[in-house]
Amino acid sequence: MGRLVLRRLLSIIPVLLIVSFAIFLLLALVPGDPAVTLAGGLTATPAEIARVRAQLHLNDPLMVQYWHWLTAAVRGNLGTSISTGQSVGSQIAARFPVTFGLVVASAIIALVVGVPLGIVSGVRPGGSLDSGARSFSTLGLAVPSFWLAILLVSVFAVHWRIFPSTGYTAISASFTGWLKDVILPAITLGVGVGATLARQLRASLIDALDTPYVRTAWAKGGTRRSVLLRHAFKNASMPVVTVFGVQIGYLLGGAVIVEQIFSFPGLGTYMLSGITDHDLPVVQGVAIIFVLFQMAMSLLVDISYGYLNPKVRVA
Amino acid sequence: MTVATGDVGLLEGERRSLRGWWAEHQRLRRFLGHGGVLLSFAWVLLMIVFALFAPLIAPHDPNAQNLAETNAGISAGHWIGADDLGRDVFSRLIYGAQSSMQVTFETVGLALVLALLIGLVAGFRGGWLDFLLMRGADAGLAFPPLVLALAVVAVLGTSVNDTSFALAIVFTPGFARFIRGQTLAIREESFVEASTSIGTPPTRIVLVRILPNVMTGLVVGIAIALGSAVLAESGLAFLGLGPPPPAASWGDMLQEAYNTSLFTHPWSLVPAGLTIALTVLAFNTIGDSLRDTLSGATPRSRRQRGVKRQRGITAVVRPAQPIPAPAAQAEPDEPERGGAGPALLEVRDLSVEFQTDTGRVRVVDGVSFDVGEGKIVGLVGESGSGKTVSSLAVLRLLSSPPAQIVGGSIRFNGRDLLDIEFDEMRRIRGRDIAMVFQDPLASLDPSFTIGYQLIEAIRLHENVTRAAARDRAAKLLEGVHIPDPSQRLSAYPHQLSGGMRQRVMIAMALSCHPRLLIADEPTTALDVTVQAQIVELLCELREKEDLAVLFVTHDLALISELSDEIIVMYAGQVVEHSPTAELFGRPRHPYTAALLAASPGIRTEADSPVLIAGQVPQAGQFPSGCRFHPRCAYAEDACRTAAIDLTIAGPDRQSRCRRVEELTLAGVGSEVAIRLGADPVGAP
Repeated sequence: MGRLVLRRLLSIIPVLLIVSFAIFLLLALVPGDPAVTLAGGLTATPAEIARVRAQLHLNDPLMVQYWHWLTAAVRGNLGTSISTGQSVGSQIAARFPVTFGLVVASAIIALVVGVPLGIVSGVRPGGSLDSGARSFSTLGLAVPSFWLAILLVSVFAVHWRIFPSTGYTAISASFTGWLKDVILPAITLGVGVGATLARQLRASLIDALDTPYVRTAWAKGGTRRSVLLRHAFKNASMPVVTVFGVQIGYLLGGAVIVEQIFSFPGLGTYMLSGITDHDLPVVQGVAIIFVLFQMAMSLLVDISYGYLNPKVRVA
Repeated sequence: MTVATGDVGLLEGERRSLRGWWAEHQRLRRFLGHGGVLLSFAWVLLMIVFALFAPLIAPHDPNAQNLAETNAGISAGHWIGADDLGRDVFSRLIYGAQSSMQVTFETVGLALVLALLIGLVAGFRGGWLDFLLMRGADAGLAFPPLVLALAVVAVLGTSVNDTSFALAIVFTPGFARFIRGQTLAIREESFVEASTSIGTPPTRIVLVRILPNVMTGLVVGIAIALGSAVLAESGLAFLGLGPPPPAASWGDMLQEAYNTSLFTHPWSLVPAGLTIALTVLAFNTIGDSLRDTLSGATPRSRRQRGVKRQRGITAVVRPAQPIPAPAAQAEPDEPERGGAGPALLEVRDLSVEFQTDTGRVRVVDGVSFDVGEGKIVGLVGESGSGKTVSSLAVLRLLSSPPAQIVGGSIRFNGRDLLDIEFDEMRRIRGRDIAMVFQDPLASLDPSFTIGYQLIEAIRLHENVTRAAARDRAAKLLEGVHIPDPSQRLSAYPHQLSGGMRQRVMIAMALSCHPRLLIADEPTTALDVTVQAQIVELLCELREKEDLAVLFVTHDLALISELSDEIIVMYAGQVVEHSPTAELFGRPRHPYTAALLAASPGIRTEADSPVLIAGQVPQAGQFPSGCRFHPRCAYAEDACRTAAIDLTIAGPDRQSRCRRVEELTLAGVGSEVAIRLGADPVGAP
């Protein structure tokens, strides 16, 4: 198990190098002189441009610039925002818990929605519950998250006034306040992922129920509960875990949109403001944090996969 | 849907091409018959037409503001009303299709070109280039998709072409990985190797051989990607990163409605959102049904129509049971028993049907046999004879659907197992009747330790503590001669050898001291040396436990040493039933004789094993008359017409052959040598 984690950690390194270089290149890829663009475009004075050049080491060769940027980034220094002058690193540190909380809450919603739906439809494919669950997951995949968010707001916040339409309360300030603020965004994000999980779980449950080891479980006198929920479910959940790992990326990407709609002061809104302000250090910093976030989450998923699958664990 | 197969005077070639056309046609029908595929195509087509001919179709200028009609409702002038600036919503939707469809198709097209380039090169070239390209793809996949698109848009800008390019970068790595995998797989196939060996240039191999094969697998991915691209485009537009105004886009319309009319006109949130959702739904539906069609899956509803669904127990649908007449014992269908009381297991007239694409098929047809207390009974036949289905039916372990028991009775201990419900059945399973299966690796649950599985087997039937069950599990392993039993309890099935696994299966089957063990080809999946050990173990345990055994096998040599009596099955029926020694000495059915002659482990008068000509007919295609007649060396015209009954053929013996009295068939040590299929020596 330890070796599995170590191997996964090592395999991250080359990917991380390529990703960081690609993110670093964002600056170099800006058409024209990035310094001019970053200093405010055509209205920038030569002094401002020179200041930006020096600040970003733009006079050095590209690889040297990358080295500067990378060593600084490793130490947590992701540069300063061009539009506000604040440290990107400290902004990210302040905003990360918001996004993290949202993603975790959404993942919980996805599991709470997806697993029961998947079980219900996988155990009795073709039944009426199955058709219902399948229609639900088909819709869950097709409805855009931002539309769902708006509909939820207009029903639960505007019409019924159960939840606030926008705003964010820190979890440290008030847990119930946080919960109230996070529930609609988390449903928005979680439903689509839950629909995907349900589809996968249904398919793999149908496969698992057709296997010889499930027949053995029946043959030794297994109750429906023990056969379906222990033998079939544990084996069927492995591919679901893999799919879940991939879906985390969608949760993170979707968080950008959902934070925007619900005015969450998270990483997503920060990145969007970076884009509209042409504040590339912000975009760079948030992008690399998103990548690290996704990698950490999929590592967690891999570890839980190892827990489920003894062949991976022991090998 | 049936096809007329009569000869309509076509030449062979024509007929074949027609058949090909028909197969294609059927596939297309199945594809289009999927829920809503036609509707989905129609919707996508409508969106494309909107995009191409927006200026001709739209009733209004999408940007013409008319403050007199702010948020106007549905009217003849505005089919879906007007927005907060009095612009016609329907016209804006039509124009919105322009950027949506353009970005969607550009994105997927561009991603496909890039991915084909990367994937084919990486897969075909291999080596360092492959490594580099695939690490690049990994890097692309390490980004949350939307974040990558946002980062690219941040640099490039938000025009339609920039958006397409940004999204194409998001879709490329996944496609590239898939294409590389497919290319690797196809490269190994013989037709590509053959091309390489005759010196076809690599580019030609890629273009002519590999590309078409990769594309078939890719179409599903393309359909799904189109749906995702629609979502992504509208998502970017919703975030204000769509095509710059005044161009209309769906995402932007939704954003405006949200900002201006959430509290005042909530219905204005519907048109754009619904359009996006329907378009995504259409692409997804096409993708899903393409996947089903290409993988050959038929819609479940059709396959399972007409079979009662039950989980964990085979459904029984049989006509009302006639009260058995006292004379029933004398009927020829009844296996003769030497005047003793009822046997432990009495199977009578068991019939099992499977629901298939073409209808119901009877796989087991009127099978009767007994297993007496402490007896070993062999159930013998080739694959497809129905022996395994019969044995699974006893514990009602066949899945419903597709299986269904349609007649007969299975009396165990005087109780008809076809009358009982799941809860009662499950208490019999493992406790009174246990089962050992053919493939021990597949039959043990790979995710649980063998200790867990043994303890579970005990605790399902007996109210003992986990610790006590664990001790007993260790003793059980010891009983099947597994060394270090208490340590092996924490092993997983894949950590044991094949023979060990089957020992575990046997230990599990015997954990609650059953009275009957059903062993379904328990040695077939094992090495020959291990087979002997397992048989030895079974014999030893049977002595110790005083078990009755129903031993299902195709191996006559194996069963000859074990069993008290043998039931031979062919094409779903019992064809011979006899005490073991008599069966081997003088078979009373040509099929039994043929099986004997074909067994490598048995010395008949034939010099070497003689294969039985032909094949076991498939269920549903059984020939008329005697089901064995097409392969039988002794068949006469009369054998081909009327069905043959099981008749008494000596003390405790039955045979389903109408020539049973006239034929003298060769057994082991009998004087007449036979050669089946060629020249029947025994025929008069």
